[in-house]
Amino acid sequence: MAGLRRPSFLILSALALGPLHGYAVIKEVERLSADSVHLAAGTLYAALDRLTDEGLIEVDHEETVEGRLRRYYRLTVAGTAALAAEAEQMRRDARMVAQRLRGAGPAGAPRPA
Amino acid sequence: MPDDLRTTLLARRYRRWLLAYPRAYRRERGPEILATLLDAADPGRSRPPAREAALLLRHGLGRRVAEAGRRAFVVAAVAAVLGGLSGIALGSWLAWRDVDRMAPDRATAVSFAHAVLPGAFGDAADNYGRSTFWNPYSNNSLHGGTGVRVGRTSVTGTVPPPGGPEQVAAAVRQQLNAQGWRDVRTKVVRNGTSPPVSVEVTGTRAGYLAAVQITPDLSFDLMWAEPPGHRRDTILGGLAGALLGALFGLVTSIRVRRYGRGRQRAYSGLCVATLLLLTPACLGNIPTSTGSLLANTNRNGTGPSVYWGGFVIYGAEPLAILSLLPILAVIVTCAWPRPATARTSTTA
Repeated sequence: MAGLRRPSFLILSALALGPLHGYAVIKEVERLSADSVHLAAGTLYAALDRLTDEGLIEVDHEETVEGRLRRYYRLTVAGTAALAAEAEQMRRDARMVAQRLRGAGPAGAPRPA
Repeated sequence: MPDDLRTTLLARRYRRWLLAYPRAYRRERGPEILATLLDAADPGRSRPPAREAALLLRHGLGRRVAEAGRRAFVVAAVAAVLGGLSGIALGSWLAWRDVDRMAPDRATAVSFAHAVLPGAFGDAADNYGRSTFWNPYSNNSLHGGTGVRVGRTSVTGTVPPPGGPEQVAAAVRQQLNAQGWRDVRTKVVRNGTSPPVSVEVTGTRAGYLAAVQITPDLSFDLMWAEPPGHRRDTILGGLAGALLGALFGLVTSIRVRRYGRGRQRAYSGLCVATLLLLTPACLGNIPTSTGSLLANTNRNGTGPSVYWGGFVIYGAEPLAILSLLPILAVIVTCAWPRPATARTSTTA
């Protein structure tokens, strides 16, 4: 699977602890990104549609609060695996960049025995 | 404004933007998206932010595209091109309907020549085609000829001895300007750095287009100029044709999906037939700076532009007329009611 785009990555991360409804996802993404990513509702639902189509999330349950319908989404098994794989890839990339910046040698070079 | 009223107004305005989504999607997800939009709205806001509205529009239209399917948009795009080129032809043709059907008369041509030509010339005028437009080898039939030509009335004279072509052209230009001709232009044709092979001076006045050609001989051609609204009508015709074509393609291709495979195959066949029948005329009608690709009104020197040349070229004209049949058949195919499903009657 191709790498996740940042909004999708943050949405999956927001759902990692449990099901959330649309507005809660927006707030959680803002918190996780230290207020650097503000999802508009149009962007959020486009991403939720895409992630649902890819089988990474699914509807958990619905409730109506003060006359407003809230639909909760949760990660699927494939979504959890994709998020973990993406996090691992990012961790490897971050380590490689940090090494290069410290001048510790070219990335991917074999370590001395 | 009370908060309840503000929220009601905001919800109503968001619902309008949600109309961008397909009906089925809106029914399924609309209340949920609206709830999120209202939860996320800044306090005191009664109008959706422009960015939010733009994103709803984009996502909604994206859903419509996804639901309509790629085929619908291919059909719509092709129909828009064919409709646009046909609309250009129709707009141009309608604009020219206001102009006299016969080329300018000989007496008028001779009187203008008297005032414009510097050298000696005869009082006789010749017609190169008596009609404003004519189509060689068509015999006014529907099979089309070798391309639309412009009818012109010509007066010939001789270049005065002391002057070369450029000096004569300057004199003609001066005369045209002095007598109120507009858009006076000079076109010089040379072979390398040698003296000019020919010079042509053109101008318009009172609906006439004059072209004075100075070769070894001197000739004054009088034609009808493009009617004032010609360019506007041509562009409007093209835009309207493209829009109608796109709508027709989109609506019919979406509608036909409700029917069975047999009717869908018939629809595809009719679309291909329309494309094949209209393509020759439309390709010939691609606009250029002097008219459509297959218009020959600039063949014998400067002439007025017409943009229906592709529709009167030999062979393309009857095919374009025949294309009305599959278009009508497409309408019937998409409008004809579905056969009723068989019902089994039960008896007690």
